[in-house]
Amino acid sequence: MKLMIVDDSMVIREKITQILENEDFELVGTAKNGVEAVEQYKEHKPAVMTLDITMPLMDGIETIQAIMDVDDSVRILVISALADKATLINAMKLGAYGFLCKPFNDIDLAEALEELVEDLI
Amino acid sequence: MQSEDLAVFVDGIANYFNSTTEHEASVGTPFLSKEVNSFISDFTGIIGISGNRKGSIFFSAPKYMLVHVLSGMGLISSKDAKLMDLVGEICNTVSGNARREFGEDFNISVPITIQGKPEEMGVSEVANIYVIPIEWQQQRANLIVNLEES
Repeated sequence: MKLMIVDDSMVIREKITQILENEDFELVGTAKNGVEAVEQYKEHKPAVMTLDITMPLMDGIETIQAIMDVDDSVRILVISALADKATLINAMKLGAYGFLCKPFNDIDLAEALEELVEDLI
Repeated sequence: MQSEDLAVFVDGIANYFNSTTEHEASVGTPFLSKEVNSFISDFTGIIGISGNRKGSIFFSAPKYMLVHVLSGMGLISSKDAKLMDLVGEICNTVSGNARREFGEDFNISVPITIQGKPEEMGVSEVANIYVIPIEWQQQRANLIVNLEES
């Protein structure tokens, strides 16, 4: 299953990539802001996307809107430090499918990804 | 700043280390300071705060500690660019987690990161600057919280 990682932190992008090595996903792209994410989404059409909220140029909330305008079938897992309910509700209303709060460990992310796609496998 | 507000950051930084590495951090008693320069180490992440609080949050740590934190996360590197990224991410995570208590009007910026100690770190002269010492694997970092209510 094709997956794309969107986060402005290279450490987080690498950490997620490392965890994916043990999961059944094919990493098709990484992006460090929402503008890059939308461009790469159109090119790779991943089934699953992990998405940060606080990013330069275009934040995660705007990115969800832009991606949903292109294709609302993608499963977006928001991975953010923003731990307030309003952010979570807003992201889910716009089309995000799951929410994982930073900081996270390997097990947290693996479980969140499995939950995200369990009805697709 | 209220003491309950400070507890949010004490818990937040402890949670970061406990969640991402296999070693718990020891968070010392916060203390007031009139300046931040004495607490700046090799790499520093800075988040600007606006909304229902205003000011800034700094996380500053020595290179050796950051290399070991990365290693604890299973990522091996001592490249400066990666360590800069890590201090920014730690600062961003602790600041973002604070919205659980302070709500959605606690606005955080994207992180600014610096290497080394600049001649002068500009902070508000009217705000109280709290320094939260963190000890992890015999190394010391500081979380510096400079906030006032809007």
